[in-house]
Amino acid sequence: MLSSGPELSDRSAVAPESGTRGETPVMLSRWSLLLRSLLHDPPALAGAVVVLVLLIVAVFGSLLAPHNPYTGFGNGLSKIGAPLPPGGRFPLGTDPNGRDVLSRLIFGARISLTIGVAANGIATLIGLLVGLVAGYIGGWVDTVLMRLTDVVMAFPILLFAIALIAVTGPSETNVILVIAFLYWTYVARVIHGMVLSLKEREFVTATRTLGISGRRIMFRHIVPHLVPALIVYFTLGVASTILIEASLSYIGIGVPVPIPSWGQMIAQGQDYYQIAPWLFIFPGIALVATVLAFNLVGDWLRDVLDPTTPQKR
Amino acid sequence: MRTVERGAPSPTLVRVEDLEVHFPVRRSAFGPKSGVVRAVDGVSFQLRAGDVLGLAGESGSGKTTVARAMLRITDPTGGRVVMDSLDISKLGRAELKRFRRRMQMVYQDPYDSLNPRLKIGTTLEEALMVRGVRPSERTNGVRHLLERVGLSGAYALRYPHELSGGQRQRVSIARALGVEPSVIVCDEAVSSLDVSVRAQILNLLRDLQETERLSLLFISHDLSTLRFIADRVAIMYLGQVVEIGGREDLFDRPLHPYTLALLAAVPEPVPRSQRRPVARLTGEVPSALQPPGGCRFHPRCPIAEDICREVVPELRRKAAGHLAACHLVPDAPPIGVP
Repeated sequence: MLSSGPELSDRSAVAPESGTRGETPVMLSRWSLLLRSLLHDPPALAGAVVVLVLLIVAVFGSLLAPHNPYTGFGNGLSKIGAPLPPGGRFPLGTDPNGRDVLSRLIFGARISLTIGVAANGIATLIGLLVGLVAGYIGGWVDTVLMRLTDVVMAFPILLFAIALIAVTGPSETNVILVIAFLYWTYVARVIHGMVLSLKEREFVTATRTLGISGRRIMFRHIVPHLVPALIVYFTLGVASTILIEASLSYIGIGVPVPIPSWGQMIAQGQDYYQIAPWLFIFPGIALVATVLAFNLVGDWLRDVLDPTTPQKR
Repeated sequence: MRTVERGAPSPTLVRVEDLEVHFPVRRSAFGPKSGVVRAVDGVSFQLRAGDVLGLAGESGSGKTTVARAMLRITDPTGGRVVMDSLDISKLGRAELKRFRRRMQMVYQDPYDSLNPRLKIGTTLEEALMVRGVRPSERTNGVRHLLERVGLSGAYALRYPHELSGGQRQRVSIARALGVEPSVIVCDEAVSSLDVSVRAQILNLLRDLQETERLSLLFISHDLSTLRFIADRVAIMYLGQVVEIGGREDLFDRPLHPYTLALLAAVPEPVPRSQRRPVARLTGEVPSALQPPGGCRFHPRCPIAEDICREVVPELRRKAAGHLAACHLVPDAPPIGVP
C-alpha cells in the first residue's frame, strides 16, 4: 500500500557515489546495501527470517497444515477424553476438542498477520493523512485535529474495545477496525511533528513561493520524506497490533470462537495448564517470536532508514 | 547601462512602504503575549525596473525578514508592498498564487533549497507547470532553463546530492527564472559559496539581470559583494533602513555613522589612506524585543548627541538620490530650490 519504491532513502550516506549515470545502478546498490547491513546485524537477520517464515506460513497455511484446524478428531483424545500430548500423529498435541494444535497455530498465523497488516495499514493511512494535513495547514485545523488525536489517545484501549464489540458483535473486521481506530493516533503524532519541521525546509518554501498548490507540496514534496518513518512505524505497529488482537481474543471479544487465533488458543489453554501445558506454550511461543521478530526488523529499519535516530545500539 | 550618472531613473517596480513585521513572544503556547520582536519596523524603499538593489546589515537586522515579507512567506504586520499597483501584503489566497510568478527568490542554503528526492528536471518542471507550459514541452523547457544558467541539459536527470553548491545555486536560479518573474530576491544567495564559485554566480546573476531586464533585490551581509553587483544599496540596522543611495554615493561618500563603521570593518586588500578613520563599532546589536528609544543606533554611535537619545530620526534626503536617517547629517536643500 504505502509506496516502498526505490526512494527508501535518499541520504547521501546511504546513496553510493556511483560514477555511472541513470537510476538503475543507484537503486540496485541501495537494495544491496540494505541487504548487506541486514547480514551484519544478526538479531535483525533472525527477525527477518522469522517474519519471512511467518509470511509463508500465513499465505500457504492450508497447504502446510497437516489437518483441518476445525475438525475434532475422535482419535485426537485419550481414552479418558483428555487432550493428547505432542508427538505422533499430532506433532504439537491436540486441544480439548480433539483438534490439531499445529494446524490451528498455522491458521492462527494467517489471522494474526491479516489483522496486524490490515489494522496497521488503515491506521498508518489515517495517521499519515491527519498528521500531514494538521501539520501542513496549521492554525485551527491543526488544533482541532491534534486535540482529537489526544482525545482518542486517552481512550483506555480494552475498555473501548469491549464497549464497541459489545455493540457490534465480535468479528475479524471489528477487531481490525477497533485496532485501527486506536492506533492511528500514534502515527498521526509522529507524522505531525515531522511535517512541522519539513514544511520549514527551504525547498518547501521555495516550492510554495513558486505558486505550487498545497496538495501537490504535501504529496510530492513532503510525503516521500515520511516514507521511511512510515515503514518503521508500520513494522513496529504490526507487532503491537498482534498483541492487542491476542489480548482481545484472550478475553473473548476478539476473533469469534471457531476461528483459530493465538490469543484465543492461549485463553482456552489456560484452563488445562496443569494437564496440557502445550496448549498455551506453543501459541505463546509463536506470539512472542512474532512480536519479537517484527520489533527487531522495525528497529533495524529505523536505524538503516534514519541515520539520525538517537537510539543507536 | 551601469553608469553613475543615469538619465531619468527607470520606473518603480516594487514599492515597500513602512513595512512592519512584528513577532509576538509568548512564554507558553497559550500564555499572554509577553513581548514583541520588532524584526522589521517601518522599512521603506523602492525597487526600480531593471535595477539591482542591495540590502545590507548585520545578522538580525531584519534583511531576510524583509524579503520573506515581500514574498508573503511571512505575513507582514503593517505597511504595504506594492507591485503592479497591487498591495501584495493584502492579497487573498487565489490572488497571491497568481502574484507569486511575478516575484521569485533564490535562497541562502543550496543544500536545503532543492528537494533531495526529486531530480533536477522534476524540480524545474514544477516552475514550468506553474506557467502553464504543456507537459510535452516541459522537457525542452527544462533543458533551456539549465542552459540559461550555464548547465548542460543532462543535469535534468541528476539528483541534488550529485551537484556541487554552485551548481545547485544555478539550479535554484533556473527554477526562479522558470516562472518568468520580473523580480528575483536573492537572500544571501552566494554567501555559502567559496570565492571563485561566488564570482561565477554573481556574474551569472548580473548577466541574466541585464539580458532579461530583471530587477534584483540582493541581500547580503557582505559589502564587497554588493559593491560588485548592486546599483543602489540600502543599509539596515535593527529592523530599519538607516541609509540608502547609489552604489558610488554609498561606498565613497557614506553619510550615516553606522554605514561608516560597517565600511571601516570591511577588510581591504590595499588600505585606503584617504578614508577618514572611524571608531570601530563596539558592543552588541541591541535586542529587537526592546529597541533603544530615539535613534536605534545611538548606544553604539561614536558621535551621538542628546537629540539622538530622544527623537527618532527620519529617513531624509541628504543629497541627490541619497537618503539617510541621522540627525547629525544636514539635509539636502529641497528639490527645486537652488
